[in-house]
Amino acid sequence: MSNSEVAPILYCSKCGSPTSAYAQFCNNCGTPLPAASTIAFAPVYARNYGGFWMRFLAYVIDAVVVGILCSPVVIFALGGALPRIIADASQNREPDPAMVFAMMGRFLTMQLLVQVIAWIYEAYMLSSDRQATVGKIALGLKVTDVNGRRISFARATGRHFAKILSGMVMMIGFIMAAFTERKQALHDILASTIVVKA
Amino acid sequence: MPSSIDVEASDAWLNKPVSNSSGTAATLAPVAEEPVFRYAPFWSRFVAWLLDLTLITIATVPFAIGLIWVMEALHGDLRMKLGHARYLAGLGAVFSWVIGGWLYNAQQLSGERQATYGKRCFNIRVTTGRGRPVSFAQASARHFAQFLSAFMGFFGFVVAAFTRRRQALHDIVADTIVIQD
Repeated sequence: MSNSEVAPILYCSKCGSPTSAYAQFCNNCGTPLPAASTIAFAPVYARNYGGFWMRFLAYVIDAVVVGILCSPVVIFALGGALPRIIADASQNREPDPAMVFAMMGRFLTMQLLVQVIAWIYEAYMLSSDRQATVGKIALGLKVTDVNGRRISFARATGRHFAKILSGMVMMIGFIMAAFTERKQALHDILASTIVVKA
Repeated sequence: MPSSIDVEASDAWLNKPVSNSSGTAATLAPVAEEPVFRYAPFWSRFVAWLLDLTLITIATVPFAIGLIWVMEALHGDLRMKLGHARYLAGLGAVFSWVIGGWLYNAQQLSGERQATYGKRCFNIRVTTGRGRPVSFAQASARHFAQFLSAFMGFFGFVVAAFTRRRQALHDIVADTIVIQD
């Protein structure tokens, strides 16, 4: 978290005036204040974070689930024309250009629908009561915000699309989950979420 | 214009003490009253921006298609050549995209959540340099300063990764900061 500053607004326990987390004494009444590190991070450090390989397995299971969810779209988009293209190719015939063009349109539409299904699936499941997708439920993981609360559909959406960045440079954003302090992948850091054992 | 003694405009209160263990109450006093913000990570803002751009484009496309359809149907009545009618419709579509983007951005940033839908996805909101809600006018200024940031090869956006308060050029111009809750 090198590019952000974490400091909650705290209130003096004696007089109730706002203080900085870095202050040792209350500015108003002079009461000694507890150290910032114990307030800001102790509850989070105590958590059981989901390990990298558990999350990897959950990801694989989710990929299968999304594949099953998307299969009607894929069959509808490719089912009709694909056998004809294969037949043309196997008999060394030139495929009909109009059909190939229509096929490309269908293929792009299919890609779009698959992305939308994957998004709705993950965002809906993570913001549901289980706070986890099917793969994460199977491995006993759940996703929360850094304070341990359930995330909203919007937050889950942000986390989902931040994965584009995580996958961009040799999956390094995903691999980060093995090394960072709170076991956060890049998309977790960006959406300020954590993955914990349920 | 802010002067050097204007506490409202200066950000001297943002300077943190060197350490928590060696300071005294007296040296800590100037910072104690003001909140310190957690600035949004650059890449969160980037993905939020992409989501907003997608949203505005998707919202504008039906209008653009409708406009082109209407102009193609009416070009005879308007005594216009088909090509000219299409050209005008295309201009109108771009115009609606720009105006729609402005109204969406300014209205959402000055609204209750202080964030567009893309920014809400990352718990990000935009405030004044002092952490207060921005007005419609200030949000508009920030929006059009974004064009300035974009014209310099998006360099104005990139500096948000490096400036002390994580401000992009348009944030500095409009005196706003972007924080993550």
